[in-house]
Amino acid sequence: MDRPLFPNFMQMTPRLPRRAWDALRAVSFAAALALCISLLVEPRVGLFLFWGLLIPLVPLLFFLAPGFWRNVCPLATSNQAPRRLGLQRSRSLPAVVRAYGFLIPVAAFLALVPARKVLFDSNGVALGVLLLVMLALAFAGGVAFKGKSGWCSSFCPLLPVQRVYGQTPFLVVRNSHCEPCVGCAKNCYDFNPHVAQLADFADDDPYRGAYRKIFAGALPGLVLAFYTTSAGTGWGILEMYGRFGVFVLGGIGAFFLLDSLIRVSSASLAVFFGAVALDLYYWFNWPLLAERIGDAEPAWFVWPARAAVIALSAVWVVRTLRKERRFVEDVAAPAPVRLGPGADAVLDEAAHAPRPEVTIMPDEHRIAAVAGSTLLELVERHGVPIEAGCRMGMCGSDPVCVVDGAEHLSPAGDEERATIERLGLAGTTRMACCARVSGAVTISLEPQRAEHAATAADVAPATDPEIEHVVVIGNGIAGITAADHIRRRHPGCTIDVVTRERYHLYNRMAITRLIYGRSALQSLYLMPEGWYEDNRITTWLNTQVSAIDREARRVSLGTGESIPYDRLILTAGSRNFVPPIAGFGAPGSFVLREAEDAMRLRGFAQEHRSRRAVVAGGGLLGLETAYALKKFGLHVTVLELGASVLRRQLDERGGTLLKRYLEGLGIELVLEAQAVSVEADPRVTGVTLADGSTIETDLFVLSAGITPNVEIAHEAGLETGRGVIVDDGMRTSDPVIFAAGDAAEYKGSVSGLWPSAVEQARVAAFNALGGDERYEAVPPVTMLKVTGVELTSIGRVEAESDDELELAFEDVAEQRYRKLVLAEGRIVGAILLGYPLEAAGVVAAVKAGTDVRPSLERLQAGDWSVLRNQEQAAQEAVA
Amino acid sequence: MVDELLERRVARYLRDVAAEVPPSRFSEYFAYPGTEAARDDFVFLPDRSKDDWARVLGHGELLRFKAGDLVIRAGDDDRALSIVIDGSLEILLPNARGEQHRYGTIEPRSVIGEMAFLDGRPRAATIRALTDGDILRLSFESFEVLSARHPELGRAILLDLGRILAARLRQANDVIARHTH
Repeated sequence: MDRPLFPNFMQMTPRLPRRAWDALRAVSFAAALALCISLLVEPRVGLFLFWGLLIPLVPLLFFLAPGFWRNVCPLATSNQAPRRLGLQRSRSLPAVVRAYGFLIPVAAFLALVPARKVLFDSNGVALGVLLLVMLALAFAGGVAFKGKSGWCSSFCPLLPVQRVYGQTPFLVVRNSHCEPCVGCAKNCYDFNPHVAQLADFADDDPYRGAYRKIFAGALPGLVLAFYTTSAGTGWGILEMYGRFGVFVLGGIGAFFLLDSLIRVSSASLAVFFGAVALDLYYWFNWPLLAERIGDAEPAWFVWPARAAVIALSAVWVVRTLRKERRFVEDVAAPAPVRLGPGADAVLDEAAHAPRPEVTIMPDEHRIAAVAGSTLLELVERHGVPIEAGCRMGMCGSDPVCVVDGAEHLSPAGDEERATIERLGLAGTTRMACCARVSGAVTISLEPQRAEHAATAADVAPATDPEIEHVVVIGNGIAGITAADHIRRRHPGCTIDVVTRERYHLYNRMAITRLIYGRSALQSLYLMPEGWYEDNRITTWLNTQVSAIDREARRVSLGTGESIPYDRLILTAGSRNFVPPIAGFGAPGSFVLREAEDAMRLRGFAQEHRSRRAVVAGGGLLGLETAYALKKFGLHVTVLELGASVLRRQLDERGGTLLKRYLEGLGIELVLEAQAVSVEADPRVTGVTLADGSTIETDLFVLSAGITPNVEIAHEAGLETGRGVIVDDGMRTSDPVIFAAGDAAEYKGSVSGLWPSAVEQARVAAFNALGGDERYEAVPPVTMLKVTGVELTSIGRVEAESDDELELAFEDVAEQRYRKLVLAEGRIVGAILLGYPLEAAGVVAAVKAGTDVRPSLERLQAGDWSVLRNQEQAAQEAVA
Repeated sequence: MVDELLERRVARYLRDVAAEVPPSRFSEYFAYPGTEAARDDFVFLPDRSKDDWARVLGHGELLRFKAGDLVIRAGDDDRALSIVIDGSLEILLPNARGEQHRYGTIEPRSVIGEMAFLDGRPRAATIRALTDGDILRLSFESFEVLSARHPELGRAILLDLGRILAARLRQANDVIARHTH
């Protein structure tokens, strides 16, 4: 640990061993006794030694090395002797002495100095007796009172002087008396010499500071009175004290006057007064000393010595004021907040446990990660801005560059590598959401572009030279994936992408971020700038398709233009399903499907200072919307028609746990609630439910599922159901027209999910160019993108017949839940709520259709590590 | 940690009222053996179990710092509560001339950043590492996750921080009262 700013004596290292101090003390005590004897026996010598040498030099000693004096002072030795001899009775000082005690040495000092003039300067016997009495008093105090409180820290007339001049020692000498410290005095000088004086000024008890002020104020007047009063005037005692009194009171008055007038702390003012008194003292004293030790007139050293003392005192003033500033800064700093005792063991363990270090460039944030965390989790938790979308490596919103330590990341899977390829990024790239950390890694959030875009090199050459024009309707992930694959396989054809939207492909899964985030759409774009140009893809933004002329193979646009096609791929996506709700459409009612919707909502909420929001729909998008609105700062209520939330992804137990968590986040959930009308005036003011109750709100967001955009296809005579009906090659009823994504209906269902859209678009593009790929529907994997939820749901979450098996486990303490649904020995569905590390293995096992019957017993016992190995095996096979 | 009120306090102290400093801080300089002031007012989560601390740890992130690193920068929007695990740091505040001044040090096993954590306002002070060390950082979002999962612990954290700030406010009020009467 650092040396404290103002160490107490127990924190200092001794300069000399205690025995050496004892020896010095013995010498000084003997010298003091010898002095007393000489004062009694041979006063002239004793007086010369005492007043001529000792007293002129002692203030300088107080000033330079006060601790030295306090260790060897004969009075202290006398006071501490009973303690060393075991005679001390260790009483505490009476309260009244503790309250007024400091006035005793002040009064004694102010009384003794003038008395020099009339008695002690000239009367050796009197002085000798005085010193002996003081030694005896110090001893008596030592017998009676504990520690040094019987004399040194309470009554010694030199104590006030020492507190003034000893507060910033040039040489710090550790207290060698108090072994151990018994805490006998408040703001003890011997305990902490640097702050004892300041502590008095800062004390809760204002009198302590006031006594210091009185004494500091008195000093210059006292010195001036002493050296301007001649002993030979024949004045009586009263006149002498009267004169001293005028000077002293003048000084004290000046102190309090200046203290009131000048914006300098009292402690600082006391330092100035102390310095002036010292300078005056030596101003007068050097010539007298010169006279005493020699008769040279004028003494050569007087002026240099005066200058030296003035310079020294100036240095002392500066040092003391600086120290006061540090003290004030330190004292004013807020009290540190310590941790409860339970923390120690846990934090010790955390500090010493091996943790892989992840460094985020360029700011070199160094995170001691928990092994198994994804880079995305680490970066997000750290608060460095990073985008996120699917959290499955498919959307491409979170590429990072691995600068160092790639071998300490979990290997990339097929989907992740396909995404990196689509983005045209270098081999150093990882999707942060997929890379789990096992050792030291350095990453940068700026991915590198691939030197050569991974295009036609590894794919079949163009299959059909007849195909010159390909038109894609829609620029969602299905449309752009299709265009990308067409271009890779057919460098020669024209590709036109027509879209109603005003923006290039963006991360639709992340549009809720547009509600609470700061970066608007800019950060959601998925393809690098220049991608469309580089790949010679013509995009028609903000352009509607008015008709498809299948005879002429032309697409008519709302602008009156038309474009020819040899192959047409329909990826027009879907829009929000809007059930009949009276009043829906009033300002303040929204759906959330496109970036535009989210940005309008954010704009509206700001403009009208919305406070409350109601979201109708407890599905994935509804809950993510609710979370976004909550992060934006609104009070959010979610209405769910059914008996639990996320009915497609969770069973009842999982739904209950999730509901509890969301409520913990501050989102209100109302189950079995149906909105029947929106109240508006003219803006939304409330929502009325089927049971007649009304919820007040400023915003109403509807999230009740999707309706595929099939109208144009239907009018063109293509076979449509809910969506455009396709076969497993993604062909529609017209062999040159394909469909993929939300607009396509395969085997009677519209998937509505990103991974299916990507795969369908790939198959559609391949087959449009004459290939023969089959789309295989895989169990859908979904995650709820709400911080802290850690939910992965795969396939069917409930057994559909008695032959199927459910294995469910709940960890009540940590509110986690996991479940497998097994059919014919294979996992067909799973819920992982709070098990992020298990997810990849379970997903891998589901996709691979692994027969888990050999490990059924372990799975039933809750040991799912075998599935984790599944993931590793799959990845190793890939690698 | 350090906030505006504190800055005003500092300004005031530096100007002329060293004598008005509350006693609780400098009494540490006179922590005589056996009489160390019990400073329960400023102990965070004094009664929580190891399990609860493990939960706090599990929701935070551990950051390594080197001597000289700026662990917190004044003006940053960084709503996180931090716990110093190892190492010492210093609090820096700019003076009127814009020079950084040390304004107290932070020792291991203490909490920093509780003000910005609660009010979400920019950091008032810069915190620089004096030694190498580790810090546990609990972002506000992570705290929300923690308290959604363990509502009772979340409530305890908030109440405790509130109690500590109340103790500070009392001190500050004492100072102001003494200065104005």
